[in-house]
Amino acid sequence: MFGITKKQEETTQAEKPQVSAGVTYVPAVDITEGEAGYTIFADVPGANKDSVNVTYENGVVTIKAQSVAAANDAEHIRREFRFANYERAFRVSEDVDAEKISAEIANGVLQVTLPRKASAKKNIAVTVK
Amino acid sequence: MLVRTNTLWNDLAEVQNEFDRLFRRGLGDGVSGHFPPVNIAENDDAYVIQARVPGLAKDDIAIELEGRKLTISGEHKRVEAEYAREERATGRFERSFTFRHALATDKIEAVVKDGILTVTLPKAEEAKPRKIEIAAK
Repeated sequence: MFGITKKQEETTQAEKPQVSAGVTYVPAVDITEGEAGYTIFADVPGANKDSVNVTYENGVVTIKAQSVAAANDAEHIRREFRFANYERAFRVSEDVDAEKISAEIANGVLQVTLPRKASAKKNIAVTVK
Repeated sequence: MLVRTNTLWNDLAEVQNEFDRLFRRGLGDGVSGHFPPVNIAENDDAYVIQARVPGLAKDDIAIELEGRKLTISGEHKRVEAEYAREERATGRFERSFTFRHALATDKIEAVVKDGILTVTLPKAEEAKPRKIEIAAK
């Protein structure tokens, strides 16, 4: 688990080496929605905890990741994918509690959890007297 | 083509395998569009396959070798949830690759890390290129 950095992406990105300069994929995502909030699952194979960056600014969550897995330099007889960078942004709805956004990464899938604000949760049970 | 009473996914997988058979004539023709996408490198000693398998761990993938034919298979399970967007692939998958050289079957290694599967297949000693000394007379 790592924290969400705000407005730090310029400096953080500049310090990172570019592994495959010039190639950026838009990662495929699933977004699930439940009472507690939303969850984004993004495919970023080759990236790990140290090479992903999640930011929130003005209602937009941006995910950036870099493949750090080593590409094989030997002569290729087949090449169907590249080790690349990933970037995608999402406008989040107003009921998301930006302070509580969290993210984790496992097996090349980045999971961003966007909880709803407590007041925005639906289906609050009211006891009828 | 076989007709089977299977789930939609198996049917799709069957169609995909059919396409695989139709369009692939040995390695190296660059046909893609199946899961998982792979890169295959070759040098004098070995082949190295790297496959893009985000979300899959060691236990989700099966690797089998039959002679010179390597098969990678498994299942990407769909999690039941209410989806606002669903772009990532799910379902069963299977891909096979047949290599030109005999393989040292006891020395094959497979590792999956950060959604990348790497399979190293050393060539059999007798299949490796060797230099032939020219005898001086």
